[in-house]
Amino acid sequence: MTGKVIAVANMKGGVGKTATVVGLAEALAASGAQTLVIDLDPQANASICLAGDSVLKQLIEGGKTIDGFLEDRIFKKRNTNFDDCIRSNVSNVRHTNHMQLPISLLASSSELRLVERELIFRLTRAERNLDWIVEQLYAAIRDQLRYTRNNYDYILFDCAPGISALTEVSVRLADMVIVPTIPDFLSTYGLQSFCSNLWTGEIAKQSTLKKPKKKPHVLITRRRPIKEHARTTEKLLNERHKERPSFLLLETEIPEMAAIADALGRIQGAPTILQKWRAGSAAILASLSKEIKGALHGA
Amino acid sequence: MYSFWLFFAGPSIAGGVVPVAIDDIAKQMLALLPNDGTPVLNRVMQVMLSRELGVAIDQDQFFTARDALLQQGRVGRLRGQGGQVFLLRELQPNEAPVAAQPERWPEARLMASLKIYLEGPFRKGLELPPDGICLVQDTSAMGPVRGRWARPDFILIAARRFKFIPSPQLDVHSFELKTETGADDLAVYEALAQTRFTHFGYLVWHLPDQSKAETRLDEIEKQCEEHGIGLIRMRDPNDPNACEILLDPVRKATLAATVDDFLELRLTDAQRKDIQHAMTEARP
Repeated sequence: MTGKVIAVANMKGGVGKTATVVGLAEALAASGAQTLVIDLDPQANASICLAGDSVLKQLIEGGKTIDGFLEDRIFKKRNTNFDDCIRSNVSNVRHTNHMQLPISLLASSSELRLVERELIFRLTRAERNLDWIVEQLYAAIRDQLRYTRNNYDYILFDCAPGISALTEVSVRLADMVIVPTIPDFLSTYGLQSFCSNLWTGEIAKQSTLKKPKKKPHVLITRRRPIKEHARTTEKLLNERHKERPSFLLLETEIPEMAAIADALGRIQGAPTILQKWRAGSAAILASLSKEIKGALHGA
Repeated sequence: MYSFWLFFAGPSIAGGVVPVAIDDIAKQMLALLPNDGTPVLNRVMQVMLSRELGVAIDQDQFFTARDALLQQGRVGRLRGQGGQVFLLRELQPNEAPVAAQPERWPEARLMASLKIYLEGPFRKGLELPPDGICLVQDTSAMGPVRGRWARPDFILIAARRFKFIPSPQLDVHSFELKTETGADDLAVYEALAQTRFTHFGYLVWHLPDQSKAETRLDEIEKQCEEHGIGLIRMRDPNDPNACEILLDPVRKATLAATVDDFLELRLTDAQRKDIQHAMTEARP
């Protein structure tokens, strides 16, 4: 088993990154795939959606988080591995056959922001440049993924909004980058700058690290039946016909649905995937997971 | 304390095995069960345990842990939907015992109470003359195997003769019994369908005072009235006198031949002879 790494990222917040990660992780797991979610957002929203509050509290108290890992590895020079921090069988969601979905989690906590600040502090004291941080993080996470990806079919990174060092690392390490985007003016404006920054712009050119493997895949999210969304979707579709498209567009679209917002809040009990997402959004997630598998495995 | 320390191998993230002690599962189960005794489905508890312990808990592990807690009197179990488990609270010193859980009255248990009521207060209410007869028969397991709604829980046959009217009269009553949670529109139609073979159809509903199901009473009563079905409320199965006829049924014009055929298959030889005797014997 050599797991495929998927990074879900966008510079803009509120576009549905976490909803995409949680929904996609559950859809992939429901198809029988061993799935790992690595939460890189200090807001820890994906962590709480997947693990629930009591398990997340245990993980944070035990230092079993991405920030705990980075602190141990980079600052304390300990040999902590991803496997020491990953919590398996974390999902409360059941398949329709009542089996628990095979999802594992490397959680995040608000301490991640402090770890990033500490890195910057050390960088300035040591008179290093920002690339040094990215290189440190890149090396630490790449080395872990070499082993961890053998245990999973899919590894999903939930990136924080903006372009942090961790986002840059996950984009460079990923086999596929999904950029959830609302088809409106502000979101697509952010999309252009995000793509140019990481794939073709200055950041991409200056970095000595490995370039992202493929162009990003844009996923239309929170689409509403309004003219602006229809017009913007059309513009996004036109990217396909450009000689050098800066991104690829996924066929699956995620509409604005109350069921999705409700589903993310269902962290108690043990609903089946259909009970959690309702039939409409579960079907969309199944279609998304199928399309992503196709894109990754060349189906 | 738990007198055993069995290990089961649960799959880990790395595809290897992680040993899980059964008493760890049991302890976690006790921690997860709601303190107020609300039952949790077994399959839900299994997932909650996997999530809390971070390893897959299979059915063998789950049921071994649950059975141990059952033996220790720490949890209780309910049947249906794959089974449920609930926490049994221990009384603290100086703590007053909580009100007893409502007694459970499945339909099979209610049958005995209904029989006593039909043979007692209901029969009395028919005001049969001294030479009239009244037979009560449990027909819940009689009748065609594939016949839909052709098996009333009880039938009651009343035969009487009159002072001035020469011909005797035979009335056949059918009773469909429903538990507290079992009465709905369909139950009314079931009682109605049984009047294909009888003259009077009743729905008997075990509906204790202050039951949550009381909210459905008006609707059920309305449905019964529309279809000419009688409604009997059984408040306390321990007290046959606590049954109350809320609605009298309307007599159906069921063909005599149909009633005859129905009784032929539901009554014993002795019962049939008693009825024939009551109907044909010369007046004293």
